[in-house]
Amino acid sequence: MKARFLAKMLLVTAALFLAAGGVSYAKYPEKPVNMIIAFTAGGSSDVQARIMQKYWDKHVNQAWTFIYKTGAGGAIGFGEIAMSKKDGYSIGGINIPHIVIQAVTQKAQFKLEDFDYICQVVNDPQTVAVRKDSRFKSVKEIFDHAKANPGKLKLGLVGPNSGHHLMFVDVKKKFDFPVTEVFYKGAADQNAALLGGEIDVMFGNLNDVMRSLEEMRIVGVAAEKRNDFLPDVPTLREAGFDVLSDIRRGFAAPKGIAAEHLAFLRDVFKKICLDPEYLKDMRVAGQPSEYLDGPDLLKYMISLDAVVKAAFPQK
Amino acid sequence: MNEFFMPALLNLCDPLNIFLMIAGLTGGIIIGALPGLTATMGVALMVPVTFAMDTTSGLIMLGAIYAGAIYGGSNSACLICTPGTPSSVATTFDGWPMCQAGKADKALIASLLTSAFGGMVGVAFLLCLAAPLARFAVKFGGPESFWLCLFGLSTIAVMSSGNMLKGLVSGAIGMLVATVGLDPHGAAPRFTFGYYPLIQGVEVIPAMIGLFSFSQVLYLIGSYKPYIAQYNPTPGAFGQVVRELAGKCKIVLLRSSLIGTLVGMLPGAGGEIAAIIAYNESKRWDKNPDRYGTGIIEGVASSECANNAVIGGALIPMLTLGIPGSAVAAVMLGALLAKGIQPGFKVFTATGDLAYTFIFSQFAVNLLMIPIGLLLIRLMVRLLSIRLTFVAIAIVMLSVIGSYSIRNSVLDIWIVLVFGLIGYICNRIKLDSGAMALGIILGPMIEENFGKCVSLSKAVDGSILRVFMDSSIAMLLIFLTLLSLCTPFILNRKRRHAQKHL
Amino acid sequence: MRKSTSDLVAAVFALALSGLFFLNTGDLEGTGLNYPLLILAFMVLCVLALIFSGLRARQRAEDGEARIDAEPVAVKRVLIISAASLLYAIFIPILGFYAASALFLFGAAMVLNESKVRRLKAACLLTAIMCLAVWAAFAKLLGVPTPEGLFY
Repeated sequence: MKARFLAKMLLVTAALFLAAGGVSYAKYPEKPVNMIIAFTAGGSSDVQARIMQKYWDKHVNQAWTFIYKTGAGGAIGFGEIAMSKKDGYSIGGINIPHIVIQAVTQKAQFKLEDFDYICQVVNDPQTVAVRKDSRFKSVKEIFDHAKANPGKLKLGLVGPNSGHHLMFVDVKKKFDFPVTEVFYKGAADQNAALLGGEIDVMFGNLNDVMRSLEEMRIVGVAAEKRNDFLPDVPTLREAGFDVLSDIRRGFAAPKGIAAEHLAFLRDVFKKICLDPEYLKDMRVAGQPSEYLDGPDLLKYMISLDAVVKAAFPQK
Repeated sequence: MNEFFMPALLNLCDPLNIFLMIAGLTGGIIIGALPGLTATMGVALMVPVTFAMDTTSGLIMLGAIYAGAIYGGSNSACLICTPGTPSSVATTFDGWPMCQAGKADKALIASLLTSAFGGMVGVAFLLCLAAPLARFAVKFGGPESFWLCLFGLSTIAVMSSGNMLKGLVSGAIGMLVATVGLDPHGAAPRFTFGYYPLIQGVEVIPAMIGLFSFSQVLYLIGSYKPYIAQYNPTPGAFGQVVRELAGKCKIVLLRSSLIGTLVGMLPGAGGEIAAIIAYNESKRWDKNPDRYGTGIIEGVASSECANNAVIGGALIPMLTLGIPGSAVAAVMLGALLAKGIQPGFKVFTATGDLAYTFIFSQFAVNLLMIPIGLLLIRLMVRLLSIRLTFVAIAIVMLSVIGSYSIRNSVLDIWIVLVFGLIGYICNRIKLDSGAMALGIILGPMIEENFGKCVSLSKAVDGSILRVFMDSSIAMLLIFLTLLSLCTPFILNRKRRHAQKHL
Repeated sequence: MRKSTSDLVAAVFALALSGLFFLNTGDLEGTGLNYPLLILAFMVLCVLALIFSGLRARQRAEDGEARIDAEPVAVKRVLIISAASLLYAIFIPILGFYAASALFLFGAAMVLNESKVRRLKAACLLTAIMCLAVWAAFAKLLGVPTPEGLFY
C-alpha cells in the first residue's frame, strides 16, 4: 500500500517536473540571463552591452545579470563563457581579434570551436593618429619619415598580442616601416603618451581616439571605406597602403546550447541591431556599429585565425 | 566662462539634484566604510542607473558616491584598523592608535573635516587651473612615472625607520608577489605555478583586504579584549578638532591636499599612493617625526586630506583630455561617453552648463559631507560597543564577499586568506605589511614603466640611462628619491638633537 | 621572541619565497624575466644583510637583548578562526555563498563566544542579521552576483 502510494507520488512528481520543463522550454528565457563581460565595469565593452540591454528589455521580459570577469586581457572572461553551463542562461561579450590571438598564443582555456556565436555588433576600425601640432599631415609622410630615420620614430600600441599588435605585424610585413614600438596597458595610457609627446604616432581604435579628438589628428583609417564619424579622413588604402585592421565586438554562448535557445538569441539580437533608436544611441556613444550574423562572424574568425597563426608564434 | 556660473548654481538647487547628492553621499560613505566594497565598485554599479537620468544629474550622483566612498574608508580604518578602501591604508597608521586610546570620536571627526577640506582644494584646482594642469599631467611619461613610483617606494625608508632592512625586504616581497599573472611584456603566463586561475594575477584590493582586514581579525580574536577599544566620548570634541586643525595642522593640510591633487592628476596613480606619500611627507618634515604612528591628529589629517584631494585632481585630465586620472574617473568617463559627451577643453564652453554644474556640485558635496558624516559617525561608533568576537566574524564574511565581487573570482577569496595569514605572521616577525602593500601597489606600475623605458631606449641607440634622465621632471624625481633615501639618517640626527636639548 | 630571532625568521621566510619564484621562472624571456630577477637579486642582498645584522646582534648581547612580543596571544582562538575561514572558503563554491556564510557565522560565533550567557541566541542573531544585510545590499540593492553552489 505504502509502496504503491510512494510510486504514485514519484510518478506525479516526475510528470510535474517534465511538464514544468516543457513549459519553461516554450517561454525561454524564464529567469535572468547572465551576461559575462570580460572587461571592467564602465569600459567600452560594458557601455556597449548596457546600451544593448536597454533594447533587449523591450523584446524580452527577463533582464541581464552583468557578471564582470576581468583579467588577462579578456582571456579570463572568454574562458568563463566557454566553460559556463550550456542551459542558455549564460552568454557573454567577446572581442575580436583578442579572443583569436589568445587562443593561439596564450595557452588560453578556450578554442574558437568552444563557442556558439550569436552575432557581431561593433566594428571599430584602427586609425593612425598623431598630435594636432604634429608635422605629419598624412600617412605617407609618416612612412617616409620612418624610412629616412630608421628607429627614430616612436609608435604607440596597446598590447602586446592585441589587435594593435596584429596590425603592426601586418604593416611591417607589407612595408618598410622601421620604428621603435612601445606598448601601453590600455587606450587611456596610449592617448596620454601621444598627447604628452612620448610617442610620435599611434595606432588606435576609432572609439578610443574619439575621446581625445580635440587634441589629435587622425590621418588614416584602416577600413574598407571611410567612417561616418570621420568622413574627411581617408582610408589607408586610399593613401596607398593596403592595410585593414579593426577590433570587433560580438556576443557568444558556450558551444552546445539548445538550438532553439541559440535561434531565439540570434533573432532578438538581430532585431536590436536593426533598431534605428539603438543605432542612434550607439552613435551618440561613439561606438561604430556593424551587424554580422553568427555564421558569418564564425567565418570571419576562422579566416582571421589563419592570419594570426602566421603573425604570432604559437605556444 | 562666467556666464555659466549662475545657471550652474541654479541647476544645483534643483531638489532632485540635492536629493541625489545626499543619497549618493550616504550610500558612498557606507560602501566606503565596508571593507571590500571600494569607491570604484560603488560608482561602477551605479553607472547603469545614470542611463535613465539626464547627464548632469547622473554625473552629480556619481561624483557624490565617489567623494563619500573615499571619505567612508576612513571610518573602518580608524575603528577597526581595516581600510575600507585602499586609499585609507595610511589612515590606519594614526587613526587606529587614536581609537585604541579612546579618542575614536576625535579621529573620526578629524578625518571627516580633513576629507571635506582636501576635496574642496582638489575641486578648486579643477575649477581654476584645469587646462595648464592637464598639460602638465600628460608630461608624465614612462620615465617620469617610473621615478615617481620609485619615489613612492623610497618612502618605505621613512615608514620603517626603525628597521629599514626589514622594510626593504617587505617591499621586495610585495613587488615579487605582484609579478604573478600575465607577463605584461610577452603576454605569457608568469609564476602561475601550474594553476591557471593565477594568470589573473594578484589583484591589489583582495591582497590589501587580506594584509590589513583579515590579519586584523586574527589579531583581534587573539587579543584577550572583550571589546575593540574603550570609547570615551569627549564633550565638545568637534570644536577641539576644528581648533587643532586650524591651528597646528595648517601646513600639513595644505601640503597634503597639494600632493593629493598632483598625484590624482597623473594617469595610473590613485588615492592609495597619494595618501601614503602625503603621510610620509608630513612625517618627514615634522619637528618630531617619532610622534607619527602613535595616534596624532596630523597623521589622520594628512592621509585623509590627500585621498580626497585626489578626486578633483583625477577629474582634471578626465574632463579636459579624456584621460582618467584614477580608476573611478575611468568609470565616470565611461558614463560620460555613453551619454555622448566628448571630453576636451571644449567641455568648459560647449557643455559648460554640465561641467560647471558638476564642479559646483562637488563643492556642495564636500560641504554636505560634514553634517551627513557627523550623523553617520554617531552610528558607526556604536560598533565599539559590540562584542569584539562578533565584529571579527562579521569582518571575515564582508571581506570574503567584498573581494569576490571585484571580479567575481573565487581566487580572490583565497588571496584574502593567504595574505591575511602572511600579514599576521609578518606582524609577529616584524616584517612591515604597509611596505609590502606599497610593493604590491607600485610593483606593476614600476614594471610597466620600466618596460616602456626599455622600448623607448631603442630610439636613442639603446641607452636606457638616457631615457631615464631624459626630462627635468625625471631629474627632479631622481633627486627627491635620493633625498628620501637619506631621510632615516636625517631623522636619526634630529632625534639625537632633540635628546640633547631635553 | 628576541629581535634578532625575528630578523632571522624573516630572512629565512624571504629567502624561501625568492627560491620558490626563482625555480618557477620557466621559459620566460626579455623584460618579463629580467624584472623579477632584478627584484630577486635585490631581495637576496637585503636578506644577506639582515642575516648578518641578526647574527651580529646575537653575538653582541647574548641575553641582554630587547624582547619584542608585547601582548599575550590566545593561540587557540587564532587557530580556530583561521581554520574556520579556510573551511568557509572551501565550502563557498560547494554550498553557495549564503549557505556557507550562515554555517560559518553560526559556527564561529558558537565556538568563539567567550561569554556563556545566551550563546545560542547571540549566534543566531549574528547569522540572521549579517546574511540578511549582505543579501539586501548585494543581491537586492546593488545587483551583484554572489558565488553560487548547491544552495542559494
